[in-house]
Amino acid sequence: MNILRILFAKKEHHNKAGRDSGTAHHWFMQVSAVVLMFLTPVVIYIWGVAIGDSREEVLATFGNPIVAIFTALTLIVTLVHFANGAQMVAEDYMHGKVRKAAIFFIFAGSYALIAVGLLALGLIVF
Amino acid sequence: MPAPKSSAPKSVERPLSPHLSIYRFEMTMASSIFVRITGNALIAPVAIFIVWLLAAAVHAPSFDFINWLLTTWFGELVLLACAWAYWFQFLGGLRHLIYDSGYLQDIRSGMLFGWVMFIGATVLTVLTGLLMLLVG
Repeated sequence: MNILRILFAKKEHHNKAGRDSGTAHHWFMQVSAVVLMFLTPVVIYIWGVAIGDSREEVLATFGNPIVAIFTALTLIVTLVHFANGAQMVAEDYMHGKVRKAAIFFIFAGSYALIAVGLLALGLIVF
Repeated sequence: MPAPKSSAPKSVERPLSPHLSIYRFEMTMASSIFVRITGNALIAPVAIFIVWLLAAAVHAPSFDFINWLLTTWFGELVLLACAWAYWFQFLGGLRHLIYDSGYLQDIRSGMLFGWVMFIGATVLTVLTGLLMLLVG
């Protein structure tokens, strides 16, 4: 087979969904989904109970190192799961540069939220 | 020169992946769309939680305001809606895990699980609300 034919086929395929890492992406969503089924109910319960408490009580609750590390872990897995899920929406409804920009902003925003969440927890614990 | 067998015309306008305009509305479709909507909408409570937490850490007046806002009837309604989205997404994820393990592949089961998701999310939301009334 002509090498140019191969390159052309690759280029043609380049902008299609699932062009390179669809299986790894899907497997990550499954693994993080199972992890989140255990993590999120605990953190949501703690938050639900804490809503409406005084600031001192809230600082005491999330100042507990076990609660803080559990919350940190949950935030990280949740937001990476979210970013990968939202990426699928971009891949379904957008094309070309707009799609690339959307995926960039989805991940940048998710990572930024992780950073802010960890900062808040760090400030409360230490 | 013969045309290459497998290369499609380069620029044909095809409909994008979820062909919403050509499918008939079905339970399987509705529940799938709602998994997508709830999954993306759930960024809202995550962001609210992070802002609430940061405010608690650094700025008392902001925290008191956000904390108060969340305990008004409107705030609690929003949180209850978030709880519904969460449980729907939870059951939707569970369905995907079951599907991917090779179970419930027939149409009847698919339809049935769709109803389980809508009714189950509603029941679980009511239970969540009651639990929060009891302990919160």
